[in-house]
Amino acid sequence: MDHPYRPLRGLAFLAFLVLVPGLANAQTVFASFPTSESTLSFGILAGDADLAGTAILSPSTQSVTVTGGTFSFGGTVSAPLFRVSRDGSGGNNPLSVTISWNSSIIVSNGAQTATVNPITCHVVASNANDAFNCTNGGTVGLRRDQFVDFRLGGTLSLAANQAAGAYTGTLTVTTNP
Amino acid sequence: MMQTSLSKTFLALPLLALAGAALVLAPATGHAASVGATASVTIQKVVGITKAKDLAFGTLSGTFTDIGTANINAVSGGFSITGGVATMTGPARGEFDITGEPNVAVSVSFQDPTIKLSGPGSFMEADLTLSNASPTLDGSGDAKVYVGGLLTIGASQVSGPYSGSFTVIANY
Repeated sequence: MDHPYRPLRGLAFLAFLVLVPGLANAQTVFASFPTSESTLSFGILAGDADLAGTAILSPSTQSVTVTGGTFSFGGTVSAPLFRVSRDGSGGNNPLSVTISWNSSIIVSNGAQTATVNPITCHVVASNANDAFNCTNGGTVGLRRDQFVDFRLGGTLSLAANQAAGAYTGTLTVTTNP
Repeated sequence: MMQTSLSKTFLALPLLALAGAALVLAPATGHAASVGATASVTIQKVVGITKAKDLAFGTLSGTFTDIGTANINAVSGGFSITGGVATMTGPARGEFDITGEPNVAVSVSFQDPTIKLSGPGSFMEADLTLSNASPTLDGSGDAKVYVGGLLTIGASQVSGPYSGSFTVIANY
């Protein structure tokens, strides 16, 4: 003899299958600027007519030192502040997040170029489960609502007789996942 | 009684299905993210320096039985003589033009402030001086510096033309 309630049990089973995938959209990792400090700037420099040189932007002191035929005239010097964070959803197991950025940056004034290489890193603050070693391609272990804040700097090489002008380029920080 | 037992079994199955699906799907974590920053630097003009006029001690005359000196003031262009030098005609301070970023100070120096002038007799030594070792470029990015010096003429200095060279360095 058929049971009168069997069709209703089948509907309940289908409803569960629809809801389960919603749980997979968890543990979202964000790469962002926690403040407005989003420019890697060496300020104002000048080069020698005959001697190449470098300008070194420290991500820890946010200051520029020069070598060789490069001279610094101040201006706005800044090392951008990045935040990699995980939201508060999903499970709380540490999630290993790989953080990477350009191996170098080419800045250009439209006619001449200069290169920032290497790019250096300094961790400013973090509550991560597993610390970030601040290297390109390094990992950080994040539980829910954890983050790491770090700054990037680098060494800019100027050629002898580097043309005057405003040079710009792009630095991209990527996280995976 | 039999119907009740069957009902419990069917209700438990969906719950087990939910648990199984959640265990498999939950590790599928978040997405890759990226954020871009701007890198920037402002490069000023390179400092340039060119010679506009040579430093000339002119023509000196005298008995040259005693050591003497001939001096050219880098700032004023005036001159003076001492000792065995009796007259000095046609002296001129050296003149150098500097270019670079407007309204920026530059540093000027000699590669070696003491030079030797060679000629038919023993060499003579000159100690060079600058009119301004740290001039500020004007609104057009120009500045001028002058070079003077103190030339020492030896006793019994052989007459004739003497010359030497020096290098002026300008930098920010």
